[in-house]
Amino acid sequence: MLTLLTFVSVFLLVIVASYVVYRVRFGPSPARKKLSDKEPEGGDMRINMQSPFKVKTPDFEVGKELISLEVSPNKSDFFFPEENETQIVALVKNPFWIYLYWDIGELTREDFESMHGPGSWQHSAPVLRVNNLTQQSQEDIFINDAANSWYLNVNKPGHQLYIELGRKFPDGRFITLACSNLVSLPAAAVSSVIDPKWQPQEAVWSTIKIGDPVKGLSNLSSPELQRKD
Amino acid sequence: MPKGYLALVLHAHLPYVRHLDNQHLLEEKWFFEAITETYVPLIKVFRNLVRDNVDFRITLSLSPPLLSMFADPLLQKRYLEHLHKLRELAAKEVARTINQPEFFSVARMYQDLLEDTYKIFFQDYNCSLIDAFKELEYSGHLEVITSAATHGYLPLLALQPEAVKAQISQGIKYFSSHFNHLPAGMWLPECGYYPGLDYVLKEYGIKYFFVDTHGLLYATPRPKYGHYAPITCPSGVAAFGRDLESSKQVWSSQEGYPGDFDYREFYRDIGYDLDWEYIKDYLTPPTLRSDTGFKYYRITGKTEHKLPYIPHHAREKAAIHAGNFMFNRQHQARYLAQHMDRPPIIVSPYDAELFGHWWFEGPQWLDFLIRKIHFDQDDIKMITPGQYLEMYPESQPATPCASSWGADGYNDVWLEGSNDWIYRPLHKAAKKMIKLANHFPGASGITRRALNQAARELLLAQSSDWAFIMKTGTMVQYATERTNTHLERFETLAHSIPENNIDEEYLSKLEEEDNIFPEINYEIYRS
Repeated sequence: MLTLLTFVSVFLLVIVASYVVYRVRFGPSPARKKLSDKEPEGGDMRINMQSPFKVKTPDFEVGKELISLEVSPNKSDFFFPEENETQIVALVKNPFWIYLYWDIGELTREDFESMHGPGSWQHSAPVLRVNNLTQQSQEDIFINDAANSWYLNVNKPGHQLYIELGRKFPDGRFITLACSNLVSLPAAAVSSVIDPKWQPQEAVWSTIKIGDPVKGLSNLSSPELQRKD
Repeated sequence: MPKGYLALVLHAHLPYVRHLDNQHLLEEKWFFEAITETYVPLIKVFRNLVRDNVDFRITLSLSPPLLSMFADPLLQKRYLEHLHKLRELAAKEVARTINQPEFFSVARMYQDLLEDTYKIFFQDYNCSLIDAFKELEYSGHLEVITSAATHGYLPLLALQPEAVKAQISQGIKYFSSHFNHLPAGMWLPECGYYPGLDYVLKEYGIKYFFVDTHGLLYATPRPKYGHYAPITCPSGVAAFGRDLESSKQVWSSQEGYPGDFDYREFYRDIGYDLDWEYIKDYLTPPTLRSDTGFKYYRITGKTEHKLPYIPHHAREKAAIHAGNFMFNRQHQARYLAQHMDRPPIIVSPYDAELFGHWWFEGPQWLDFLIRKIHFDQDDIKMITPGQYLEMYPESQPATPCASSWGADGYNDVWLEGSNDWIYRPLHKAAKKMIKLANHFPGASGITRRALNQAARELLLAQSSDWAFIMKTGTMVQYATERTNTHLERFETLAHSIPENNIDEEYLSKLEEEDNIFPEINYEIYRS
């Protein structure tokens, strides 16, 4: 019995020691470790390189970096790694349009090429992938490498979307670089949802002219009322 | 029992403009003009109504930047100097026009108004107009509420929930420091709402807010009474919707009252019309022709040939327009009351600065309207949203639609080609601020001062006014400069804090220059 216990202990020790050696030699470099304990789980949202079309559902609060890019020899970089990060942010303009801006970190292209081969950046095209959660659909919009922002006519009042910034190869493979925050497009019409306890009073509604924008001064706010040069 | 209620809501706001040097006199004059032409005239109207025992209720939103400027000793002193110059000019104008009867009565009118302004501003309230509003609140005639700290346009700051919370909580805190109570309601900057924002308001004790008409009409589920009754958001906070018809009558430059030909013409000012030598000492800045506030012509019509302004004709029109406005509200209320289980509430919100500055006769119109409502009829009664909720606490559960009261009703004004560039640095700065606040809890000494100043710079950069000015294309350079300056100052501080390399002289200078919210606590940004 004692011999068996000794054997098991030694075996476990060997496994632990091997793992420690492996982590030291092959583990993530300090430059790629998590920023802090407070870093959200999005830090794990790296691209699944084996299955480029499947990425984890993004964190919907803030656009997240998919390839960690921090280089942090000094304190400022420790606090502000976002200056080198790859991210995409989506803002709602109106029920039909969203505005996107993005940053591509310094090392993203290098990482991409080391992953997909020399010249792979050039041989792939930048794409915005519109993921419509409401209607469970995807659409790819080809953009250009000079752009870092985009107005997108999505034309989906009331829908929820998020956008992936990525690159697409001629063979159709799509590699995600970053996922945006989730956006909800506003409604552009009266809701069809009726609360049975509060049935719309048609005699009241008949007095309301829907879609009759107030022109003129309603579009001004205080500073313009101060001056019109 | 009235058939319905009218909630008149005035939102008073100007961006925080206060410079230690004399490089931005033109922009600083926005505040001075608004005191002379809007805030003091409104105070005068309200005080006279109280004196005459007229029962009325107005909801007045005073934005935190405006409150800060009212309370600032430097701006108070500068305004008094500005007012002295205007009074001097008024006396000169009376002398100059003595042989021009068509202008003389107008010159005398301006002199009387400016003497009244001096009396109210200096003698009655010792330069502190906040006291005037407090007085009217204590007498039960005003429900004073507030807005976000620097009037940040919240739907476009919502990427970082902490940034929205900081705008809301700091605004409320600053308001409470002056009024000694929480505001019952919140004026969301530009009525910018998105579902979920109501939870933040709830967290800070807010009971109601306003949305534009379609914010309520497009709510889910569809509201039973359109925008004639509030709805209760999932958070429990009530949302009131703007009444389109009454807005249009006052706001619309085509169909609205302010365009009447008897009203004063805004764009004919002696600052442009009179000899340079005569007027130059009364221009601000003294090197540039600009408005003085002395305007002698009426709108006349769609013509360049303007006729002299006749004050008593304009006053008659203001009375007629007030009667018309009331008649229409009575008509609305009588009809709606037949089809509702509670009296309808007609919510009519306006920018306060419309009254007096832009629409010179606006305060007179308001005065006539309130008196007529009190004396001439029983169909409608004035009310504040807070009072309405006390009387009718149960309202339909629904979520308003994301919306604003800007052109086209959504975020278009604050997010378009001229101003979209600001959001990348604003979001990055907010992210840094949150990180700093989380990393340095309970900081003290110079680190705390620097963190607090960084929070002030970020808030000032977030003001919705800069994006708005960029969009309108007037004074764009100033708006761009303000955005960039506050962001640069924020960056400098933010980088020096973790390095423990804070330049105290620089910090002191910023504390003096950008002195909004003296009691700010940067920890409002903690996650």
